[in-house]
Amino acid sequence: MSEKEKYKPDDDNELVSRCKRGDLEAFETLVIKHQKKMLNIAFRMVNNCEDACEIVQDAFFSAYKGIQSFKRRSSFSTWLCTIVINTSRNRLQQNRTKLSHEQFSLDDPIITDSGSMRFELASDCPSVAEQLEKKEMQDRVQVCIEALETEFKEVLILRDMQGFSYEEISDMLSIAQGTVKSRLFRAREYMKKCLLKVFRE
Amino acid sequence: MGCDKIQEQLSAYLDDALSPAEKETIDNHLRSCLKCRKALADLEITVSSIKGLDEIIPPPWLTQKIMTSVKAEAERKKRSLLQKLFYPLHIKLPLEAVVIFLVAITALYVFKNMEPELKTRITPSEETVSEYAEKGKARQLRPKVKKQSQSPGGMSSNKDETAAGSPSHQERGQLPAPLSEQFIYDKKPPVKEKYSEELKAPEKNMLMKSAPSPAGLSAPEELKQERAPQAPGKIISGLSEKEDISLSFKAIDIDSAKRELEEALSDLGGKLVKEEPASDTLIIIGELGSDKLLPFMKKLKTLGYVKEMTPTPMSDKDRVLIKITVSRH
Repeated sequence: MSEKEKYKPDDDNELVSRCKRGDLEAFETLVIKHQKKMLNIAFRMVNNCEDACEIVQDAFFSAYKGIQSFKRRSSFSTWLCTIVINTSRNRLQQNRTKLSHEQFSLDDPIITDSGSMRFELASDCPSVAEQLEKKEMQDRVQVCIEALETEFKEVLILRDMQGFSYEEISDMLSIAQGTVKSRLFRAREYMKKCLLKVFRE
Repeated sequence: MGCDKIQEQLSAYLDDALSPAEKETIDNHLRSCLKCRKALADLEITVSSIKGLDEIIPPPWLTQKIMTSVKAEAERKKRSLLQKLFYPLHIKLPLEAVVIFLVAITALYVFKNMEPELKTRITPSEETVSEYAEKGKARQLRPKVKKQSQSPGGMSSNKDETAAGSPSHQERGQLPAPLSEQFIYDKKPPVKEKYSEELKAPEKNMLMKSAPSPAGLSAPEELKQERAPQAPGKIISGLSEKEDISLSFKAIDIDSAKRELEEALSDLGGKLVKEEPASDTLIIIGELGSDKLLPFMKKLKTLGYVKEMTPTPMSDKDRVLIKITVSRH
Protein backbone atom coordinates (compact mmCIF):
# COMPACT_ATOMS: atom_id res chain seq x y z
CA MET A 1 0.00 0.00 0.00
CA SER A 2 1.48 3.32 -0.97
CA GLU A 3 1.90 6.31 1.30
CA LYS A 4 -0.84 8.13 -0.53
CA GLU A 5 -3.33 5.34 -0.10
CA LYS A 6 -2.47 4.92 3.53
CA TYR A 7 -3.27 8.47 4.53
CA LYS A 8 -6.22 8.79 2.27
CA PRO A 9 -9.22 9.47 4.45
CA ASP A 10 -11.16 6.26 4.58
CA ASP A 11 -14.89 5.70 4.62
CA ASP A 12 -14.85 5.58 8.35
CA ASN A 13 -14.02 9.26 8.69
CA GLU A 14 -17.61 10.42 8.64
CA LEU A 15 -18.68 7.68 11.03
CA VAL A 16 -15.82 8.49 13.38
CA SER A 17 -16.82 12.15 13.35
CA ARG A 18 -20.37 11.21 14.28
CA CYS A 19 -19.06 8.93 17.03
CA LYS A 20 -17.06 11.79 18.45
CA ARG A 21 -20.31 13.72 18.71
CA GLY A 22 -21.79 10.83 20.67
CA ASP A 23 -23.68 9.13 17.84
CA LEU A 24 -24.13 5.54 18.97
CA GLU A 25 -25.65 4.43 15.69
CA ALA A 26 -22.49 5.48 13.87
CA PHE A 27 -20.46 3.49 16.35
CA GLU A 28 -22.66 0.47 15.80
CA THR A 29 -22.03 0.76 12.07
CA LEU A 30 -18.30 0.73 12.74
CA VAL A 31 -18.69 -2.30 14.98
CA ILE A 32 -20.62 -4.22 12.34
CA LYS A 33 -18.07 -3.25 9.73
CA HIS A 34 -14.93 -4.17 11.65
CA GLN A 35 -15.90 -6.82 14.15
CA LYS A 36 -15.15 -9.79 11.85
CA LYS A 37 -11.60 -8.69 11.12
CA MET A 38 -10.97 -7.89 14.78
CA LEU A 39 -12.46 -11.16 15.93
CA ASN A 40 -10.22 -13.10 13.56
CA ILE A 41 -7.09 -11.32 14.69
CA ALA A 42 -8.04 -11.94 18.31
CA PHE A 43 -8.95 -15.53 17.63
CA ARG A 44 -5.61 -16.27 15.93
CA MET A 45 -3.83 -14.56 18.76
CA VAL A 46 -5.46 -16.44 21.62
CA ASN A 47 -6.80 -19.45 19.73
CA ASN A 48 -9.99 -19.34 21.74
CA CYS A 49 -13.29 -18.13 20.40
CA GLU A 50 -14.77 -17.07 23.72
CA ASP A 51 -11.66 -15.19 24.69
CA ALA A 52 -11.54 -13.66 21.21
CA CYS A 53 -15.14 -12.45 21.56
CA GLU A 54 -14.34 -10.91 24.90
CA ILE A 55 -11.20 -9.31 23.51
CA VAL A 56 -13.18 -7.77 20.64
CA GLN A 57 -15.82 -6.58 23.05
CA ASP A 58 -13.22 -5.00 25.32
CA ALA A 59 -11.39 -3.50 22.35
CA PHE A 60 -14.53 -1.83 20.95
CA PHE A 61 -15.41 -0.60 24.42
CA SER A 62 -11.94 0.92 24.77
CA ALA A 63 -12.26 2.40 21.29
CA TYR A 64 -15.56 4.03 22.20
CA LYS A 65 -14.13 5.48 25.39
CA GLY A 66 -11.02 6.69 23.60
CA ILE A 67 -12.62 7.84 20.35
CA GLN A 68 -11.86 11.48 21.23
CA SER A 69 -8.15 10.63 21.38
CA PHE A 70 -8.20 9.08 17.89
CA LYS A 71 -6.29 11.68 15.85
CA ARG A 72 -6.78 10.06 12.43
CA ARG A 73 -3.05 9.71 11.86
CA SER A 74 -3.92 6.21 10.68
CA SER A 75 -7.17 4.65 9.54
CA PHE A 76 -9.79 3.71 12.10
CA SER A 77 -9.23 0.06 11.18
CA THR A 78 -5.48 0.28 11.93
CA TRP A 79 -6.17 2.07 15.19
CA LEU A 80 -8.71 -0.56 16.15
CA CYS A 81 -6.23 -3.37 15.26
CA THR A 82 -3.67 -1.87 17.60
CA ILE A 83 -6.23 -1.97 20.39
CA VAL A 84 -7.15 -5.57 19.59
CA ILE A 85 -3.50 -6.65 19.49
CA ASN A 86 -2.79 -4.95 22.80
CA THR A 87 -5.90 -6.43 24.40
CA SER A 88 -4.94 -9.86 23.07
CA ARG A 89 -1.41 -9.54 24.45
CA ASN A 90 -2.86 -8.69 27.86
CA ARG A 91 -5.19 -11.64 27.66
CA LEU A 92 -2.35 -13.99 26.73
CA GLN A 93 -0.33 -12.64 29.62
CA GLN A 94 -3.27 -13.21 31.97
CA ASN A 95 -3.81 -16.72 30.67
CA ARG A 96 -0.16 -17.55 31.09
CA THR A 97 -0.25 -16.29 34.68
CA LYS A 98 -3.43 -18.21 35.26
CA LEU A 99 -1.96 -21.40 33.84
CA SER A 100 1.13 -21.13 35.95
CA HIS A 101 -1.06 -20.87 39.04
CA GLU A 102 -3.54 -23.58 38.17
CA GLN A 103 -2.54 -27.20 38.08
CA PHE A 104 -5.36 -28.25 35.88
CA SER A 105 -8.05 -26.48 33.96
CA LEU A 106 -10.84 -27.79 31.79
CA ASP A 107 -9.81 -25.18 29.26
CA ASP A 108 -6.30 -26.53 29.01
CA PRO A 109 -5.37 -27.91 25.63
CA ILE A 110 -5.65 -31.66 25.38
CA ILE A 111 -2.35 -33.09 24.47
CA THR A 112 -2.73 -35.66 21.72
CA ASP A 113 -0.22 -37.54 19.64
CA SER A 114 -0.40 -34.99 16.93
CA GLY A 115 -0.06 -32.07 19.31
CA SER A 116 -2.65 -30.23 21.33
CA MET A 117 -6.21 -29.28 20.51
CA ARG A 118 -8.80 -27.09 22.11
CA PHE A 119 -12.46 -27.63 22.78
CA GLU A 120 -13.50 -24.25 21.54
CA LEU A 121 -12.57 -24.70 17.93
CA ALA A 122 -15.42 -27.06 17.43
CA SER A 123 -17.81 -25.54 19.90
CA ASP A 124 -19.01 -21.92 19.88
CA CYS A 125 -17.42 -20.58 16.77
CA PRO A 126 -18.79 -22.26 13.74
CA SER A 127 -16.01 -23.77 11.79
CA VAL A 128 -16.38 -23.24 8.10
CA ALA A 129 -14.27 -26.20 7.29
CA GLU A 130 -16.49 -28.60 5.55
CA GLN A 131 -14.03 -31.13 4.50
CA LEU A 132 -12.40 -33.12 7.21
CA GLU A 133 -9.05 -32.95 5.42
CA LYS A 134 -9.20 -29.22 5.13
CA LYS A 135 -10.23 -28.90 8.72
CA GLU A 136 -7.41 -31.13 9.82
CA MET A 137 -4.96 -29.14 7.82
CA GLN A 138 -6.25 -25.89 9.31
CA ASP A 139 -6.05 -27.28 12.80
CA ARG A 140 -2.43 -28.14 12.23
CA VAL A 141 -1.62 -24.70 10.94
CA GLN A 142 -3.35 -23.21 13.96
CA VAL A 143 -1.32 -25.47 16.23
CA CYS A 144 1.87 -24.16 14.64
CA ILE A 145 0.74 -20.56 14.98
CA GLU A 146 -0.17 -21.23 18.59
CA ALA A 147 3.38 -22.37 19.24
CA LEU A 148 4.81 -19.05 18.06
CA GLU A 149 5.99 -16.39 20.46
CA THR A 150 3.54 -13.49 20.67
CA GLU A 151 5.85 -11.02 18.95
CA PHE A 152 6.18 -13.33 15.91
CA LYS A 153 2.59 -14.43 16.00
CA GLU A 154 1.21 -10.94 15.76
CA VAL A 155 3.39 -10.03 12.79
CA LEU A 156 2.37 -13.21 11.00
CA ILE A 157 -1.32 -12.66 11.69
CA LEU A 158 -1.23 -9.02 10.61
CA ARG A 159 0.75 -9.70 7.45
CA ASP A 160 -0.32 -13.10 6.17
CA MET A 161 -3.86 -13.23 7.46
CA GLN A 162 -4.93 -9.61 7.45
CA GLY A 163 -2.68 -8.34 4.69
CA PHE A 164 -1.40 -5.21 6.38
CA SER A 165 1.69 -3.59 4.90
CA TYR A 166 5.04 -3.59 6.65
CA GLU A 167 4.56 0.06 7.29
CA GLU A 168 1.16 -0.38 8.89
CA ILE A 169 2.41 -3.21 11.04
CA SER A 170 5.37 -1.08 12.01
CA ASP A 171 2.94 1.66 13.10
CA MET A 172 0.61 -0.70 14.93
CA LEU A 173 3.28 -2.47 16.90
CA SER A 174 5.52 0.54 17.24
CA ILE A 175 8.51 -1.27 15.81
CA ALA A 176 10.84 -0.49 12.89
CA GLN A 177 9.98 -1.84 9.45
CA GLY A 178 13.25 -3.77 9.47
CA THR A 179 12.09 -5.48 12.63
CA VAL A 180 8.79 -6.31 10.97
CA LYS A 181 10.68 -7.84 8.07
CA SER A 182 13.02 -9.93 10.21
CA ARG A 183 10.26 -11.03 12.60
CA LEU A 184 8.13 -12.04 9.67
CA PHE A 185 11.01 -14.02 8.15
CA ARG A 186 11.59 -15.87 11.40
CA ALA A 187 7.86 -16.48 11.92
CA ARG A 188 7.49 -17.90 8.43
CA GLU A 189 10.60 -20.03 8.75
CA TYR A 190 9.23 -21.48 11.94
CA MET A 191 5.84 -22.09 10.34
CA LYS A 192 7.51 -23.77 7.36
CA LYS A 193 9.46 -26.13 9.56
CA CYS A 194 6.45 -26.77 11.79
CA LEU A 195 4.14 -27.51 8.89
CA LEU A 196 6.71 -29.70 7.11
CA LYS A 197 7.04 -31.67 10.28
CA VAL A 198 3.30 -31.97 10.69
CA PHE A 199 2.78 -32.97 7.05
CA ARG A 200 5.53 -35.52 7.23
CA GLU A 201 3.87 -37.10 10.22
CA MET B 1 25.63 -14.23 -1.87
CA GLY B 2 25.20 -17.54 -0.03
CA CYS B 3 21.98 -19.52 0.09
CA ASP B 4 21.42 -18.64 3.74
CA LYS B 5 21.47 -14.94 2.94
CA ILE B 6 19.24 -15.47 -0.04
CA GLN B 7 16.74 -17.52 1.96
CA GLU B 8 16.65 -14.79 4.59
CA GLN B 9 15.46 -12.42 1.90
CA LEU B 10 12.92 -14.79 0.44
CA SER B 11 10.22 -13.73 2.89
CA ALA B 12 10.52 -10.12 1.82
CA TYR B 13 10.97 -11.23 -1.78
CA LEU B 14 7.60 -12.92 -1.57
CA ASP B 15 6.02 -9.71 -0.26
CA ASP B 16 7.69 -7.66 -2.94
CA ALA B 17 9.25 -5.60 -0.19
CA LEU B 18 12.78 -5.52 -1.64
CA SER B 19 14.61 -2.87 -3.62
CA PRO B 20 14.87 -3.62 -7.37
CA ALA B 21 18.59 -4.39 -6.95
CA GLU B 22 17.96 -6.88 -4.15
CA LYS B 23 15.17 -8.43 -6.12
CA GLU B 24 17.39 -8.84 -9.17
CA THR B 25 20.14 -10.48 -7.12
CA ILE B 26 17.67 -13.00 -5.74
CA ASP B 27 16.16 -13.64 -9.18
CA ASN B 28 19.60 -14.35 -10.55
CA HIS B 29 20.41 -16.68 -7.66
CA LEU B 30 17.15 -18.54 -7.86
CA ARG B 31 17.76 -19.32 -11.53
CA SER B 32 20.87 -21.22 -10.66
CA CYS B 33 20.03 -22.63 -7.17
CA LEU B 34 17.59 -25.48 -6.86
CA LYS B 35 17.82 -25.54 -3.07
CA CYS B 36 16.76 -21.95 -2.79
CA ARG B 37 13.98 -22.46 -5.34
CA LYS B 38 12.74 -25.32 -3.10
CA ALA B 39 12.96 -23.07 -0.06
CA LEU B 40 10.93 -20.44 -1.83
CA ALA B 41 8.32 -23.00 -2.85
CA ASP B 42 8.03 -24.23 0.73
CA LEU B 43 7.67 -20.71 1.95
CA GLU B 44 4.95 -20.01 -0.56
CA ILE B 45 3.04 -23.08 0.59
CA THR B 46 3.43 -22.06 4.21
CA VAL B 47 2.18 -18.53 3.57
CA SER B 48 -0.70 -19.75 1.44
CA SER B 49 -1.58 -22.23 4.20
CA ILE B 50 -1.74 -19.40 6.66
CA LYS B 51 -3.65 -17.20 4.25
CA GLY B 52 -5.95 -20.07 3.52
CA LEU B 53 -7.10 -20.34 7.09
CA ASP B 54 -10.80 -19.89 7.22
CA GLU B 55 -12.06 -16.79 8.87
CA ILE B 56 -14.37 -17.28 11.76
CA ILE B 57 -17.71 -15.58 11.57
CA PRO B 58 -18.66 -13.40 14.51
CA PRO B 59 -21.53 -14.82 16.52
CA PRO B 60 -24.72 -12.81 15.95
CA TRP B 61 -24.83 -11.65 19.57
CA LEU B 62 -21.39 -10.02 19.41
CA THR B 63 -22.56 -6.69 17.99
CA GLN B 64 -25.39 -6.57 20.48
CA LYS B 65 -23.07 -7.38 23.36
CA ILE B 66 -20.58 -4.73 22.30
CA MET B 67 -23.32 -2.13 21.93
CA THR B 68 -24.87 -3.01 25.28
CA SER B 69 -21.62 -2.30 27.07
CA VAL B 70 -21.04 0.84 24.98
CA LYS B 71 -24.56 2.14 25.65
CA ALA B 72 -24.13 1.45 29.36
CA GLU B 73 -20.93 3.46 29.26
CA ALA B 74 -22.66 6.30 27.42
CA GLU B 75 -25.45 6.26 30.01
CA ARG B 76 -22.94 6.23 32.83
CA LYS B 77 -21.09 9.15 31.26
CA LYS B 78 -24.32 11.10 30.93
CA ARG B 79 -25.32 10.25 34.49
CA SER B 80 -21.95 11.14 35.88
CA LEU B 81 -22.20 14.44 34.03
CA LEU B 82 -25.57 15.07 35.65
CA GLN B 83 -24.15 13.97 38.96
CA LYS B 84 -21.32 16.37 38.54
CA LEU B 85 -23.85 19.11 37.99
CA PHE B 86 -26.39 18.25 40.65
CA TYR B 87 -25.25 15.56 43.03
CA PRO B 88 -21.53 15.62 43.44
CA LEU B 89 -20.98 15.17 47.12
CA HIS B 90 -17.40 16.28 46.88
CA ILE B 91 -18.57 19.59 45.43
CA LYS B 92 -21.85 19.85 47.30
CA LEU B 93 -20.43 19.90 50.80
CA PRO B 94 -17.97 22.72 50.26
CA LEU B 95 -20.63 24.47 48.21
CA GLU B 96 -23.04 24.30 51.11
CA ALA B 97 -20.38 25.57 53.45
CA VAL B 98 -19.62 28.45 51.12
CA VAL B 99 -23.30 29.30 50.72
CA ILE B 100 -23.87 29.29 54.48
CA PHE B 101 -20.84 31.47 54.94
CA LEU B 102 -22.07 33.91 52.29
CA VAL B 103 -25.53 34.04 53.85
CA ALA B 104 -23.96 34.75 57.23
CA ILE B 105 -21.79 37.50 55.78
CA THR B 106 -24.76 39.01 53.96
CA ALA B 107 -26.88 38.92 57.11
CA LEU B 108 -24.12 40.61 59.07
CA TYR B 109 -23.66 43.21 56.36
CA VAL B 110 -27.37 43.94 56.20
CA PHE B 111 -27.55 44.17 59.99
CA LYS B 112 -24.58 46.53 60.10
CA ASN B 113 -26.14 48.70 57.44
CA MET B 114 -29.51 48.74 59.14
CA GLU B 115 -28.13 49.75 62.51
CA PRO B 116 -27.48 53.41 61.71
CA GLU B 117 -30.94 53.65 60.19
CA LEU B 118 -32.46 52.33 63.37
CA LYS B 119 -30.46 54.85 65.28
CA THR B 120 -31.55 57.70 63.08
CA ARG B 121 -35.09 56.65 63.60
CA ILE B 122 -34.67 56.47 67.33
CA THR B 123 -32.69 59.67 67.60
CA PRO B 124 -35.46 62.11 66.75
CA SER B 125 -37.75 60.60 69.33
CA GLU B 126 -34.96 60.78 71.85
CA GLU B 127 -34.41 64.34 70.91
CA THR B 128 -38.09 64.99 71.26
CA VAL B 129 -38.01 63.45 74.67
CA SER B 130 -35.00 65.49 75.67
CA GLU B 131 -36.60 68.56 74.19
CA TYR B 132 -39.64 67.98 76.27
CA ALA B 133 -37.44 67.35 79.23
CA GLU B 134 -35.63 70.59 78.56
CA LYS B 135 -38.87 72.41 78.10
CA GLY B 136 -40.05 71.04 81.37
CA LYS B 137 -36.80 72.19 82.91
CA ALA B 138 -37.21 75.55 81.34
CA ARG B 139 -40.66 75.83 82.75
CA GLN B 140 -39.36 75.03 86.16
CA LEU B 141 -36.62 77.52 85.68
CA ARG B 142 -38.86 80.30 84.59
CA PRO B 143 -40.40 80.94 87.94
CA LYS B 144 -36.93 81.49 89.30
CA VAL B 145 -36.16 83.93 86.59
CA LYS B 146 -39.38 85.72 87.13
CA LYS B 147 -38.95 85.76 90.83
CA GLN B 148 -35.55 87.27 90.40
CA SER B 149 -36.58 89.77 87.84
CA GLN B 150 -38.94 91.60 90.04
CA SER B 151 -39.00 95.01 88.63
CA PRO B 152 -41.20 98.07 88.72
CA GLY B 153 -44.77 97.22 88.01
CA GLY B 154 -44.73 99.57 85.04
CA MET B 155 -43.01 96.94 83.00
CA SER B 156 -45.50 94.29 83.72
CA SER B 157 -48.37 95.46 81.63
CA ASN B 158 -46.08 95.78 78.69
CA LYS B 159 -44.82 92.27 79.12
CA ASP B 160 -48.31 91.01 79.46
CA GLU B 161 -49.12 92.31 76.09
CA THR B 162 -46.05 90.77 74.64
CA ALA B 163 -47.16 87.51 75.92
CA ALA B 164 -50.62 88.01 74.62
CA GLY B 165 -49.28 88.43 71.11
CA SER B 166 -47.00 85.46 71.26
CA PRO B 167 -47.79 81.92 70.25
CA SER B 168 -47.32 78.67 72.20
CA HIS B 169 -50.71 78.95 73.76
CA GLN B 170 -50.99 75.27 74.27
CA GLU B 171 -47.72 75.02 76.04
CA ARG B 172 -48.63 77.81 78.29
CA GLY B 173 -52.07 76.50 78.87
CA GLN B 174 -50.50 73.43 80.31
CA LEU B 175 -48.27 75.30 82.63
CA PRO B 176 -48.04 73.69 85.98
CA ALA B 177 -49.27 75.19 89.25
CA PRO B 178 -45.95 76.64 90.42
CA LEU B 179 -46.10 79.17 87.62
CA SER B 180 -49.32 80.56 88.78
CA GLU B 181 -47.90 80.66 92.27
CA GLN B 182 -45.03 82.68 91.00
CA PHE B 183 -47.46 85.00 89.35
CA ILE B 184 -48.53 86.12 92.74
CA TYR B 185 -45.19 87.73 93.26
CA ASP B 186 -44.59 88.97 89.84
CA LYS B 187 -46.69 89.45 86.82
CA LYS B 188 -43.82 90.68 84.71
CA PRO B 189 -42.54 87.49 83.06
CA PRO B 190 -44.03 87.86 79.64
CA VAL B 191 -44.90 84.43 78.56
CA LYS B 192 -46.82 82.87 81.32
CA GLU B 193 -48.63 85.61 82.84
CA LYS B 194 -51.55 85.82 80.56
CA TYR B 195 -52.22 82.15 80.85
CA SER B 196 -51.74 82.25 84.51
CA GLU B 197 -54.29 84.93 84.42
CA GLU B 198 -56.68 82.73 82.62
CA LEU B 199 -55.97 79.76 84.77
CA LYS B 200 -55.98 81.63 87.99
CA ALA B 201 -58.30 84.34 87.20
CA PRO B 202 -59.35 85.15 90.73
CA GLU B 203 -55.78 85.51 91.92
CA LYS B 204 -54.91 87.59 88.95
CA ASN B 205 -57.80 89.76 89.46
CA MET B 206 -56.76 90.26 92.97
CA LEU B 207 -53.34 91.27 91.87
CA MET B 208 -54.60 93.49 89.20
CA LYS B 209 -56.61 95.26 91.69
CA SER B 210 -53.70 95.78 93.95
CA ALA B 211 -51.29 96.69 91.18
CA PRO B 212 -51.29 100.18 89.84
CA SER B 213 -53.52 100.08 86.85
CA PRO B 214 -54.04 102.80 84.32
CA ALA B 215 -57.64 103.22 85.30
CA GLY B 216 -59.70 102.17 88.24
CA LEU B 217 -61.59 99.61 86.28
CA SER B 218 -63.31 96.62 87.64
CA ALA B 219 -61.57 93.25 87.36
CA PRO B 220 -63.23 92.01 84.18
CA GLU B 221 -62.66 95.29 82.49
CA GLU B 222 -59.05 95.24 83.53
CA LEU B 223 -58.63 91.83 81.92
CA LYS B 224 -60.13 93.05 78.75
CA GLN B 225 -57.88 96.00 78.80
CA GLU B 226 -54.85 93.90 79.36
CA ARG B 227 -55.68 91.81 76.39
CA ALA B 228 -56.25 94.83 74.32
CA PRO B 229 -53.15 96.29 72.71
CA GLN B 230 -51.52 99.05 74.65
CA ALA B 231 -48.80 101.41 73.79
CA PRO B 232 -45.62 99.92 75.16
CA GLY B 233 -43.67 103.02 74.34
CA LYS B 234 -44.90 104.53 77.50
CA ILE B 235 -43.06 102.01 79.53
CA ILE B 236 -39.85 101.21 77.65
CA SER B 237 -38.38 104.39 76.48
CA GLY B 238 -36.81 104.29 73.03
CA LEU B 239 -38.62 101.12 72.15
CA SER B 240 -41.59 101.58 69.99
CA GLU B 241 -42.19 97.91 69.53
CA LYS B 242 -42.33 94.80 71.63
CA GLU B 243 -39.51 92.25 71.45
CA ASP B 244 -39.74 89.80 68.60
CA ILE B 245 -37.84 87.14 70.38
CA SER B 246 -37.33 86.19 73.97
CA LEU B 247 -34.38 84.17 75.06
CA SER B 248 -33.13 82.68 78.26
CA PHE B 249 -29.38 82.65 78.44
CA LYS B 250 -27.39 80.98 81.15
CA ALA B 251 -23.82 81.94 81.87
CA ILE B 252 -21.35 81.46 84.66
CA ASP B 253 -20.51 85.10 84.87
CA ILE B 254 -23.25 87.55 84.04
CA ASP B 255 -20.96 90.48 83.37
CA SER B 256 -18.76 88.66 80.94
CA ALA B 257 -21.84 87.14 79.36
CA LYS B 258 -23.22 90.64 78.88
CA ARG B 259 -20.01 91.73 77.24
CA GLU B 260 -20.02 88.74 75.00
CA LEU B 261 -23.61 89.35 74.04
CA GLU B 262 -22.90 92.98 73.32
CA GLU B 263 -19.96 91.96 71.27
CA ALA B 264 -21.96 89.39 69.40
CA LEU B 265 -24.64 91.93 68.68
CA SER B 266 -22.22 94.54 67.47
CA ASP B 267 -20.35 91.96 65.41
CA LEU B 268 -23.54 91.18 63.56
CA GLY B 269 -24.44 94.83 63.07
CA GLY B 270 -26.84 94.99 65.94
CA LYS B 271 -26.78 97.00 69.13
CA LEU B 272 -27.71 96.87 72.74
CA VAL B 273 -30.89 98.75 73.27
CA LYS B 274 -31.55 98.31 76.92
CA GLU B 275 -30.38 96.38 79.90
CA GLU B 276 -32.06 95.77 83.18
CA PRO B 277 -29.73 94.51 85.85
CA ALA B 278 -30.99 92.58 88.85
CA SER B 279 -29.27 90.72 91.67
CA ASP B 280 -28.21 87.69 89.65
CA THR B 281 -30.20 88.18 86.48
CA LEU B 282 -29.78 90.57 83.64
CA ILE B 283 -32.32 91.35 81.00
CA ILE B 284 -30.86 92.62 77.80
CA ILE B 285 -32.84 93.93 74.93
CA GLY B 286 -30.91 94.01 71.74
CA GLU B 287 -31.70 95.08 68.23
CA LEU B 288 -30.51 93.12 65.27
CA GLY B 289 -31.04 92.80 61.55
CA SER B 290 -33.55 90.06 60.99
CA ASP B 291 -31.21 88.37 58.56
CA LYS B 292 -28.59 88.20 61.28
CA LEU B 293 -30.88 86.48 63.70
CA LEU B 294 -29.85 82.95 62.91
CA PRO B 295 -26.10 83.59 63.05
CA PHE B 296 -26.70 85.40 66.35
CA MET B 297 -28.56 82.42 67.74
CA LYS B 298 -25.76 80.18 66.69
CA LYS B 299 -23.25 82.45 68.30
CA LEU B 300 -25.22 82.50 71.50
CA LYS B 301 -25.34 78.77 71.58
CA THR B 302 -21.57 78.69 71.45
CA LEU B 303 -21.38 81.08 74.35
CA GLY B 304 -23.60 79.23 76.72
CA TYR B 305 -26.86 77.50 77.35
CA VAL B 306 -29.63 79.13 75.40
CA LYS B 307 -33.30 78.44 75.58
CA GLU B 308 -35.46 80.10 73.07
CA MET B 309 -38.73 80.98 74.64
CA THR B 310 -40.49 82.36 71.66
CA PRO B 311 -39.88 80.81 68.30
CA THR B 312 -37.91 82.62 65.72
CA PRO B 313 -40.45 84.83 63.99
CA MET B 314 -40.64 84.88 60.28
CA SER B 315 -40.75 88.58 60.54
CA ASP B 316 -40.66 90.75 57.53
CA LYS B 317 -39.20 93.54 59.56
CA ASP B 318 -35.68 94.63 58.83
CA ARG B 319 -34.69 94.67 62.45
CA VAL B 320 -35.89 92.61 65.33
CA LEU B 321 -35.80 93.15 69.05
CA ILE B 322 -34.36 90.40 71.16
CA LYS B 323 -34.97 90.08 74.83
CA ILE B 324 -32.30 88.03 76.53
CA THR B 325 -32.69 87.02 80.12
CA VAL B 326 -29.21 86.27 81.39
CA SER B 327 -29.04 84.19 84.54
CA ARG B 328 -26.30 82.51 86.41
CA HIS B 329 -25.67 78.97 85.42
